[in-house]
Amino acid sequence: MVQRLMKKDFKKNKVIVFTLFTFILLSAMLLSSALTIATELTGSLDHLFEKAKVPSYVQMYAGDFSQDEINTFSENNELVKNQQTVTMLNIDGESLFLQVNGDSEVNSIIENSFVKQNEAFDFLLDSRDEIAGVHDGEIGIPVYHQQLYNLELGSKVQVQIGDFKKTYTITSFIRDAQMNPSLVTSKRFLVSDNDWNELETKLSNQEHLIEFELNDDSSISEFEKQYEASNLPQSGTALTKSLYQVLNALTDGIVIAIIILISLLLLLIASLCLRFTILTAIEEDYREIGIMKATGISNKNIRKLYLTKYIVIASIACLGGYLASLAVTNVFTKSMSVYMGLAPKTMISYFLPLLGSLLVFLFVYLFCRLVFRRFKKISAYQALQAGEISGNRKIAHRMQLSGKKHWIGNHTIFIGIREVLTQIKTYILLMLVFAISLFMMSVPFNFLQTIQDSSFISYMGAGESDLRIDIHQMDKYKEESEEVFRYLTNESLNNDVIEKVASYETSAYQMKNADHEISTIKIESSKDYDVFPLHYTDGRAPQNDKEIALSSMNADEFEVSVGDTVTIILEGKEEKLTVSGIYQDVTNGGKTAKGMLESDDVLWTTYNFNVKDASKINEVKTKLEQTFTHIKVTDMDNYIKQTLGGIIEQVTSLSVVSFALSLFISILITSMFFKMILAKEAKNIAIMKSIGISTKTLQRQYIVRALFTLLIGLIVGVVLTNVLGTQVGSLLLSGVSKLTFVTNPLINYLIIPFSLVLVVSLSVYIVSVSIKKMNIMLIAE
Amino acid sequence: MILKATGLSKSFPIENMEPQHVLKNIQLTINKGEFVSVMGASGSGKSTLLYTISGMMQPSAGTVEFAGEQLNKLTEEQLTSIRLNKMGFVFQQANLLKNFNLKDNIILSAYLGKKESQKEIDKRAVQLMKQTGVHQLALKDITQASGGQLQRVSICRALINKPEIIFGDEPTGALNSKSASEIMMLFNEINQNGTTILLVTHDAKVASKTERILFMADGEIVSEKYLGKMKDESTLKEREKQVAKWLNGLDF
Repeated sequence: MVQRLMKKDFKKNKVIVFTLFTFILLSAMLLSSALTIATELTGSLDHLFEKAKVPSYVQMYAGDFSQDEINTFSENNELVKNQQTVTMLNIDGESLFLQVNGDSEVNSIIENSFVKQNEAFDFLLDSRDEIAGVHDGEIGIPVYHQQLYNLELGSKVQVQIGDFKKTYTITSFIRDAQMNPSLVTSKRFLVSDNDWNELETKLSNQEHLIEFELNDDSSISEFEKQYEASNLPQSGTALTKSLYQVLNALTDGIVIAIIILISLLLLLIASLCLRFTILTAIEEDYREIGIMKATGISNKNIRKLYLTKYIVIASIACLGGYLASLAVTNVFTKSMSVYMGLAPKTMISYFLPLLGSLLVFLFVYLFCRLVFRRFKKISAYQALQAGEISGNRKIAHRMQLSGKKHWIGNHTIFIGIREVLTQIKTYILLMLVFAISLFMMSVPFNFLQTIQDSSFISYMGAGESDLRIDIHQMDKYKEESEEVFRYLTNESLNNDVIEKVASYETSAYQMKNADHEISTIKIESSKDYDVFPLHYTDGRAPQNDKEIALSSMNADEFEVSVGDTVTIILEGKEEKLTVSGIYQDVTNGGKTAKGMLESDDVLWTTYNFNVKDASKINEVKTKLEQTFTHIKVTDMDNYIKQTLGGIIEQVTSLSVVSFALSLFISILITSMFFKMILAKEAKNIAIMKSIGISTKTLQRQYIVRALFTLLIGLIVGVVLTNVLGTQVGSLLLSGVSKLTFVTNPLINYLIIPFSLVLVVSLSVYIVSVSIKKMNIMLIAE
Repeated sequence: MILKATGLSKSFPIENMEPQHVLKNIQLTINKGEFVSVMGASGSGKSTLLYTISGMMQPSAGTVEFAGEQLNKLTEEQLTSIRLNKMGFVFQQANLLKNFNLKDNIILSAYLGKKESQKEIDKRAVQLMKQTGVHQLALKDITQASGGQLQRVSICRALINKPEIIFGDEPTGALNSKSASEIMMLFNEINQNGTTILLVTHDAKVASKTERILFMADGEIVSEKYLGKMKDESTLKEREKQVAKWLNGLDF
């Protein structure tokens, strides 16, 4: 009997069954996919790190040092298993030609360098995850560049340094566990030992990676302290294996987080649909349920009768979702497989996604059981009596059609709005769906807009300026740096060109953390932070050498807020600095600080400056680069784009998918919703048709109901986007605690709402065409 | 003549069986200002006749002419317009919209379909409600009125657009005898004001208050009797006896 009833029901409610099925399937598919990606990401990372033998601790350093001292330190340190020093030959952008169109890398902020393959650990891998090897005249290109320029094996790379000119053939694409991610701005190119030796004579700009492989990775922090306590080179960035893991996982981690979020949203929509469908079914069958109860059929059996249908839908959809996830996952893991390679599949890579689908099924099942508890409340007598009036009577009385002229001139619009307001509980489902759709459409676009906007620089710990110059290795280029500053501030020379200049010098200091342990912190110092003011989430910029501003991640780590003091070691003495402000920063792993200190040991210097005539920015940039050979001038847009390139690309495709998905959800739910409303109101429609109300008027009234609900949904959606959306955005960017969206009015206030208005109106119009065919004779029943 | 049915038939298809012929070659004329009732046993086809000649149901064969227009040739839109402007319906159940109060139920079609001012429509609604004795219930919900009161409201709704004819499908079928009698008096009054009424009933007392009675059996009009207009209630007993006699003769 159950089978027969179900067959009949599926036939009758095709749209509803299809909608529920689709949502459960999509939700199961996405959750399974997210779990697959997470499994593969972990597997791939482990696989890559194992194959590449990633160092436990790396100290970057530019300058002279004694390898003997490092050897002595390593030999005497029980924690160290292996040590090697990698020398990277840095090449300026203008000397490197990767692109097919012959353009140099002059506009790129990526710092490219040449290395030879290591012998003990920190291997550069090829696309088969084997230790890459190149012959003379051949080159291994980082995957980042391959993806950026669509390079192919056999393509040529040219190096031109002064009179020296050499062409290399690409023979492999390098997976570099240390420098794969786009967030890391350094990239290593692999050349043969002979070619490296040749290049060494041409490239004087060298940087060293002092690498340690430890016996046990759990002792990294202990080793870190020992290294910091030694007198070995320290005036560069120090990185650990776990940080490399975080950097590698970040881009895909964001994708996983977003997919899980979408999956949960879909599950929420599916639940709301289920609740609405079940309640409508109960309402429609109110009398029948009453009869069943009156004839002695138990609650349990009645529930079984109804529940079976949903169990069948959910189980097929979840199984379908799991199978679909197996096919779809490849799309998401494509970039991961290029950058990291894929680990061989294990039992868990099949089991975990299955668990995802199973969870969705269980949730749907339990949710249905919960909703069906309502059966208990229906008494046989009550059900057999004529139906009650549903809806909010207070609003109904307040919104009378007759009498005083009501506030909306048009009666159809008035009735449409009145219907929604009196039955707001019913329309909440649709309203929520619209709000969620708007949220899903707006958040990725706003996020994209924000990270592409030049004002995003304030989340990178810097004020907004036209151009910036970064000079690293200050021990070598101190003089040139001073010359650059003199050039920029020379009024007689640049009176008409440069508007304002500020210089920022970064040095490493020792600071005591909350547990009184000493750790190294990089502090940027400037004489004047007002030239290019930064937005502080709390407090303000430091104003004297007794004040310090911390990035939000550092403030969290040192457990301080504005007004607290931190202890810093200056020239061997402890000095207390007051925290004057907290700002957001995604650069340098989110851990930076700003002060007004003076140091002889500067790690790097940044000059920010504005150009008077914005149209001359490029001209100024070129002139500066021609005048000073070792500097890199970057405009803000490019700086942001190149730092966040990978994320921007992923979020762009995600925005488009999310936009399309939201429209699809809106169409599906609106159609299903109004199909059910029409079925529920069939008798009312017959009555209205019998008293001469035209099909067109009725259709218009249903469209008004949908659009009014959409309007409320949009308002809720905008609030959601602004309150929750920015928090989601902050979660995606470590180092950003409080994100404010930069919005594009054209997208937010025109394209998104109007596309929703269009699809919603069309959906209701198409569904309501059935009013014409609805049997007027229902009035006689 | 306001309504004329010629060769009217209606059949309903039944799966794997012969179609059911509910109306068979009906010939019928209703004159303007008449008060006609159709009597017959359950399943005789009287309700189908009412809905077919009112344009709510398409006939299988034959034509229906109403106020000079052939209903089965009109589009859905034209039929809606006729229902709005020239016809009124009263059903066995009041069939009022639950979400509106009683007055709003009356004025709804006029508000949405007519080009009259809101004031005019409201005025007419109040007049009708006074005439039918439900004006004090105007702002009440449908659950706050009795069955008889609801039927009066549905009569007001049928009259709001000043129709030329009112169709009633067992309008007193769900009411007690007192309420039924009051409703019939109301119909009489409406008819005396010039509105044509055609109603379907199985109740001899109801039929006895109408001017002409059509008797139906097996989808055909088997007899037609003329009682004349009821001037006052004093003749009612006699009319009821007469109808009973006719019914006995027909062996319903």
